[in-house]
Amino acid sequence: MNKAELARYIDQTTLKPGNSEEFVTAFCEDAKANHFASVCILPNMIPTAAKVLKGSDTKVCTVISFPLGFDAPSVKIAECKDALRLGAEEIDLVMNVSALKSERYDIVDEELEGVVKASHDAGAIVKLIIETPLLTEAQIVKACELAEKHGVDIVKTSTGFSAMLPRSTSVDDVKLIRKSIKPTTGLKAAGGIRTTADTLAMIEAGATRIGASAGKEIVDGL
Amino acid sequence: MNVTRNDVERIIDASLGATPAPTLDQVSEFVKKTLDYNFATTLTEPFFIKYNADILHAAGKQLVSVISYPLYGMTHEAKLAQAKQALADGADELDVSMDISAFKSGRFDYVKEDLKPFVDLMEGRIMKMIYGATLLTEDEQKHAAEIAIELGIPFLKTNTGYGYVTTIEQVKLIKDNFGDDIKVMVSGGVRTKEDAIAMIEAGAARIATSSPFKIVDSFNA
Repeated sequence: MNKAELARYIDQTTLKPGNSEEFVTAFCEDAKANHFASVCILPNMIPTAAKVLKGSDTKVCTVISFPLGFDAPSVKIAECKDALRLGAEEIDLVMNVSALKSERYDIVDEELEGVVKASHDAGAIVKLIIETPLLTEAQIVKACELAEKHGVDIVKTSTGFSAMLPRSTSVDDVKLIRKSIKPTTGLKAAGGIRTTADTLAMIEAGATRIGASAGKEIVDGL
Repeated sequence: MNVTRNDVERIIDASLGATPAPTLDQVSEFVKKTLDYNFATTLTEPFFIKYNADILHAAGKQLVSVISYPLYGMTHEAKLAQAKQALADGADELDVSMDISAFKSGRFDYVKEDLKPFVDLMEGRIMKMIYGATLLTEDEQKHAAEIAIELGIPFLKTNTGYGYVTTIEQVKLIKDNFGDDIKVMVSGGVRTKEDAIAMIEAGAARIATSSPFKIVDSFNA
């Protein structure tokens, strides 16, 4: 793999609270120049990112119900529709982990059905963040099953919201998800991936996207 | 200042906080435990309001939801949808995050426009504006307070927690400059009786904490 190929795996990410428009504009300019797959930003930064990325090969990616995922399906769907209206092209939805752990799969079904339909109708793809650090293996498999049932494009390991999580995303998470989804379904590894070696290990294990804040360093390290 | 157990207990917003991804049963267990105390409110994320409002209301107690939490980064329309759902589900108060990105970008008119509909939505119920003190300079903190006062928001909430610790200085800055024009709720890093007393002495009118039982029980120890 060469650097240009590796760049196409990267969702270049900045989800810090209080990023200024000036900062996000420069961040997107840089991502565009590096031909990353997308820039992942909080929803209030979509207009700023869209202005820079429009017409480029770097997509506008945003997060829904991030990072906790504790919203009613109707709220998640409303947030998703507003994000699409503002120019989001990729939707990273935080699954309701509480509902999954409570075996209230009907709630996960409802949020997935609405978000996938709204996104696909708008020509956007959906990544479902299942938050592997908080799940058992059986729960990871169940989350993948729900993702497949609703036509999710990419299963994403974790929010990477380290203040809340006991650990980063692991290679074992990626391997388990890979086994639990169709070969054609994408897999995004995110959460604590900072080096070229981390990135290559995740890709080796089956990841097709990498969420990282250090995309440039990762590519340059190749 | 002699701060009593009652002084602390009655101004606590009790939050489950520390448990990541609790089940619905775990949240309800926590909520039921708060019934044995005289906290100001019980605080949860929006999803859990619907499942716990009846438990609290039957006991004459109040429930608060956070909005655009904890990253201050939802769009205006999404925040409104979230708030309306929380109120419909039974929330008695809302803690609404200011759009700190817009604030940091100097778009103060937008910051106000974004918040204004929430003031109207509350119809007199208490709204707190989360302004992210730890993310702001002192001048910015004062400016955020001015915005809240201008909009008629009765309470400032300092931070979201999740590693953002509120300092005594942040509380004093607001009280020294604005006195009784606005109340301050401290959120982030209050874990002991001593922390709580220090915040009250600095002028805090509410305290959000995920250690509510430990703090109040330690007055008896």
